[in-house]
Amino acid sequence: MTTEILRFLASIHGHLGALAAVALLHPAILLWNGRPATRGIRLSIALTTALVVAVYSMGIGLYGDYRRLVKRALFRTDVTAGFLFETKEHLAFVAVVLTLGAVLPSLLPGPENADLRRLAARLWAGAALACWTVGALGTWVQSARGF
Amino acid sequence: MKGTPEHRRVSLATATAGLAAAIVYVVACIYDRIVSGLADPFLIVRDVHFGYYHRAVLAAWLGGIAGLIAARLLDSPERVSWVTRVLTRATLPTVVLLSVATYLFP
Repeated sequence: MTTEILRFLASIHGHLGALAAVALLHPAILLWNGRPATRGIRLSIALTTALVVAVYSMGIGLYGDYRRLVKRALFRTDVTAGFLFETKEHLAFVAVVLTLGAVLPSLLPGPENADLRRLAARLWAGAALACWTVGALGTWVQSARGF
Repeated sequence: MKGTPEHRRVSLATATAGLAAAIVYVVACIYDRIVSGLADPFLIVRDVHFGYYHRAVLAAWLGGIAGLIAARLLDSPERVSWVTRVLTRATLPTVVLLSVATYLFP
């Protein structure tokens, strides 16, 4: 892969990541008070989960070329930004596992189990928090050395 | 049929697994950094990224075990309600702590 293709794919990854950060807020808000999952909420949960997993997978797929083409130059330019990229990776994993952990508590409980949906909402919110931080760190790294 | 005790247990076990996996991953990062120190930026290009996959698989594995243990132990409605309350209160502060930890131990 050339740097230009990596730049293009990283841009798509970043835009989809921003979309995922916003999408994660949707189930968090809708389920916050334990409201039963309607058809619309179920659709939101399915699409959000698919988006988060897809963006994470894309990031993992791009990492090899990032390491080969960008990482050394990034560390030469700004060591802090280089390590923040690693922090971003760690938080991305946190966001994914929290997302996956939130799916069943959102969908399985019956109408009377509002407490589990409130727990699911906190997991969605936690995933959103991690995802927003990932986005902020990604922007920081990008501004330190655009690639 | 939804909302059976079995569904409550499975739901809570999944939530426990997700949160446990996140915690295990970050603890593994902290352990790596404490044992090996911060990587030399000029050598880091030779990093094969193996550590990341190792931590991710370890976290998924231990998170799954935590979920299974939770499903096994949560055999009464009272326990399920109590654990649900605790996790509901603890989730967001835990994520904040994990975020700070990943910043301090990149």
